[in-house]
Amino acid sequence: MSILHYDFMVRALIAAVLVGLTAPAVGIYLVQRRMSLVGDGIGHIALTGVALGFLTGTSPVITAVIVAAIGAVAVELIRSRGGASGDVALSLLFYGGIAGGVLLISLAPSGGNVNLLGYLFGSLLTTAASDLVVMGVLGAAVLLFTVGLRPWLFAICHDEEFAQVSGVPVRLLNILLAVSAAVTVTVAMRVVGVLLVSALMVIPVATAQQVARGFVATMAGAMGLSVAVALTGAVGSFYLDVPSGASIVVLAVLVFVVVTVAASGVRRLQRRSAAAGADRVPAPAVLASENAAADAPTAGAGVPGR
Amino acid sequence: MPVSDPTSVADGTPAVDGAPLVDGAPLVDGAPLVDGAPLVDGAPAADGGRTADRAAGAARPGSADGTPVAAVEHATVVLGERPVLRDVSLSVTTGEVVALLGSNGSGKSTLVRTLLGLVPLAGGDARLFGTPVPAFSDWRRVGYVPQRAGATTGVPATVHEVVSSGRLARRGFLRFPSAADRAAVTGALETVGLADRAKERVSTLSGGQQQRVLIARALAGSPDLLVLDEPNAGVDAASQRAFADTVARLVARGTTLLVVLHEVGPLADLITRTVVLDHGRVIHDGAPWADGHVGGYWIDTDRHHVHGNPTASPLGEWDGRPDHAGPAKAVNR
Repeated sequence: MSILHYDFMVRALIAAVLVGLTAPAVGIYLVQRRMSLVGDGIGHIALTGVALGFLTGTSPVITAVIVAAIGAVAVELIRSRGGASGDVALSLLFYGGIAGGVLLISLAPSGGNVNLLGYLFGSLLTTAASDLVVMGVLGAAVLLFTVGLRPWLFAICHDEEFAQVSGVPVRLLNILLAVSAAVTVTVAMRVVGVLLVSALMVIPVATAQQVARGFVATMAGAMGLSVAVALTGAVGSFYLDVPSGASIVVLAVLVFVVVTVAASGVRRLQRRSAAAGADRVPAPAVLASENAAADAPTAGAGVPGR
Repeated sequence: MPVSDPTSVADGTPAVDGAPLVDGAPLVDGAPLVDGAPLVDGAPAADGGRTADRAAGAARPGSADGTPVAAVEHATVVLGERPVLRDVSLSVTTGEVVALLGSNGSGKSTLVRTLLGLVPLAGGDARLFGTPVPAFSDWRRVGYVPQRAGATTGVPATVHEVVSSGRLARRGFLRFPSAADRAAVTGALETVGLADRAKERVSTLSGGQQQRVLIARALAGSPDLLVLDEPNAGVDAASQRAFADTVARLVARGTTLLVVLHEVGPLADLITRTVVLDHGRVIHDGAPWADGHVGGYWIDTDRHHVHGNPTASPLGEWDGRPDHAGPAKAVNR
């Protein structure tokens, strides 16, 4: 492939693979908790970190990691406390984050709209080699955590109280999960931008769960899909000369729509053939025990009522 | 007043033998337990016979140790500004099957959640296996089936995945599952009759089956104490009977059970002791009873209200199920 002759393109594709793997690996736990938008909020907060980097002349990636991690832990503490005002507290944090970021960037001597746009929507093709090293180390840590500790993270996101009664270190894992979400946001910032990072955390998961039966299958499917979309989108942004975040996320949304329509079509066909089959032959009760047999007639009836 | 003192049943039951499955026999062919002969008669022999059955067996290992499996003393819990438990004392010993009854808001869920360390105490003491709950760490001994938590979340999970998460307490943090861990998950699925559904999405199961998934999850850790919070709420009759069948097997195995119930239902024959809460206080602790009536108190399950005076019970409302012993009989006993 001719585009691989460009060093910046090779770097861009490596970055795309890194982000494609890490974003849904963390995002699946947020989706499991029905907190899909938290990634978006952390992205807002990360912008303040980026601005702080510009203002102080240090690496924006490092300041973004620190500020986003502090913000993510704050979000986690607000979540675990519950409380009616938690919603408002999150809003304050998120909008304060993005406003603070814009304010600080405007104050920075070298700050300009071009830089800001790159961080907001991604500018994959400008990824530097030093960026790549930081992204690689952080991404590997996130993957090790989210994939390696899957059974425990699954347990705390599935049923936190049960996990606590199982002796799982719930509080520690919650904090670590929040920090890894912040790290992922920062890693993905270059590729999709802080405003779109949450899309890559959520949309591949939402797409994979249309067809996958279980959690592990959803996670694997989401990571594979996300890598494919990130790579294709990165190449697309090169040829179309558009921000990489935009091309990647638009592609992800398209795949989601196609898969959802196809999956619902398949389900409808299955239901129709199942109904036709039931008309012809009374379904044989192939069940392990009389318990299951006693339950079977209610299985269909129980679902719509819930 | 009653010929058989209610508390004598509780006192006589810590030792559970392997035999009471005889009691559970009707379950095997799916007949509801409430149809069991002893309860129809409402005769004192019902309790007496059950107690004798259990006492006949050899004492299980562990029951000799006098340490209560779960205990609260003078427990007071305040949620928000509202006192939910007031000076509650309760001690559960090995092998008991304790039903915790009471109307909505009586504090029964809060009591078990306090025992599990999910709700902080404002006063008093809570212990598991003799250790104060905040310091308790041997969670492998405790199984918990939360109230209607729903087995589904934002991401699909298979039955097997959910049940496997119940094994984490035994497995240990950051360890790979052993062959024994895998076998325990399979065994738990077989116990609740869902082994053939292991690979399916939990969300495709009926409400009753999902509840059984949560029970299997608790069983996967092979707990010594199983705490269930309204396991039959909103569950169809067939699943309730399947659940009673599971409980019978656990009782035979020697598991101690603390079950929060809104109505006793098919579990009636397995319960060795009933505790009734009302407005955060224990108002009855002793003999088990069927729905509608508990040791001199009348529970109007339709109105979610507990009356203190059995003579005030509206006999007409009680009738729905003629199998149960009526309040009048209890007073006369």
